[in-house]
Amino acid sequence: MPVEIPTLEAMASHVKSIPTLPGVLIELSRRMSDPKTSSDELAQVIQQDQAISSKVLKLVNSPFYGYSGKIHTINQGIVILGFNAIKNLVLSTSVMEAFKGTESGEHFRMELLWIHSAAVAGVSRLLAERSGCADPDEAFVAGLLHDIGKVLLWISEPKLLTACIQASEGHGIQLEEVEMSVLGFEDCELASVLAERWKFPSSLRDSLRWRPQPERAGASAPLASAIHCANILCIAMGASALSRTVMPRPAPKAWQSMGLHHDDHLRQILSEIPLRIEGARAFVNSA
Amino acid sequence: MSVRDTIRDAKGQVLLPAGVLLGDSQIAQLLQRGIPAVSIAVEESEEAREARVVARKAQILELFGETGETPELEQLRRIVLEFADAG
Repeated sequence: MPVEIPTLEAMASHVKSIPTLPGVLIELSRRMSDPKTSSDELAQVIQQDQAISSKVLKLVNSPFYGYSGKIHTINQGIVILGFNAIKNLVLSTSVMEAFKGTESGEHFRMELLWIHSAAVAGVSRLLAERSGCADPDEAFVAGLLHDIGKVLLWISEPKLLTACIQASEGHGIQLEEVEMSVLGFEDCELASVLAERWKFPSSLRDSLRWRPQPERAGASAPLASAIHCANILCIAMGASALSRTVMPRPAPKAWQSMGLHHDDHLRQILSEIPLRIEGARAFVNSA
Repeated sequence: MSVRDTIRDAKGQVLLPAGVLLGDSQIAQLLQRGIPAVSIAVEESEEAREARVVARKAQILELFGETGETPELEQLRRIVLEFADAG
């Protein structure tokens, strides 16, 4: 019996069944665009959602953020880490919560995917800080969500994703290339559909869409370059989303824009990755 | 057996710095302070280190092949192998 291949449009309609993000995030974005909003008011908005505020506090006090036991209230978190960092933590927590309970399979393990994603988030932040190319907090969120299209594909078409992964491993071809030839679209396109549904900023949406080819991301190319390179560096250092991964090829322009073509800089960044991977495990356990 | 990471209380004050030997009295003190688990630094034997380096290099060669396909991949492969050699 022939296998029915879903179109991107069909997959996009499936995205509609993915839970919406909590109202607290929408309210937070609205208040943040008003320069008169105080940190007290923002803290009050977040505290309306008890589950999210306690998770955010748990995360900022985890080894990943390095404020072990020092931040006791959301207001204190905003003062120490800044509005954007806290908003992005609310966003990250909400996204991970939306996909909580997704079961793993033999070829697609959710735990591996989240640890890889959190490691890419940490390294994206590091690259953004060192290169000054993008907002480090936004780079963190983009890194955390860079593989979210794979999760959507896994939830809706587990057999097809498994077939793509097996073909990629068996023939040594990039997963994105297999997806394109089998499905007619790449998982990063699904990530951008979800980003649109969740009304993420266009910079985040475009960087997720063009992560494999960051030079095509227009004004978001620096952010896309940070997550593109962070993904490759994490895989190279042993933190891959899949148990057997075909090594992605760095886009030369993105690689140079992060200064990674200089051996000393590449060594410096790589030396910091094991700690980020360890932090990623703590982040996933806390989220 | 020594503590791998510095242990702090809820206020951020250091209870035990990284590297301190962990004896019965320290364990009792930590339990009293409500800390149920800590990371332990494990001393690796020379054989274990060698085996880990060999396994990591095999993993890198599987990932990158004998040479990198592009100049960027070759540079990355070379430096990741340096890291593996350094253990």
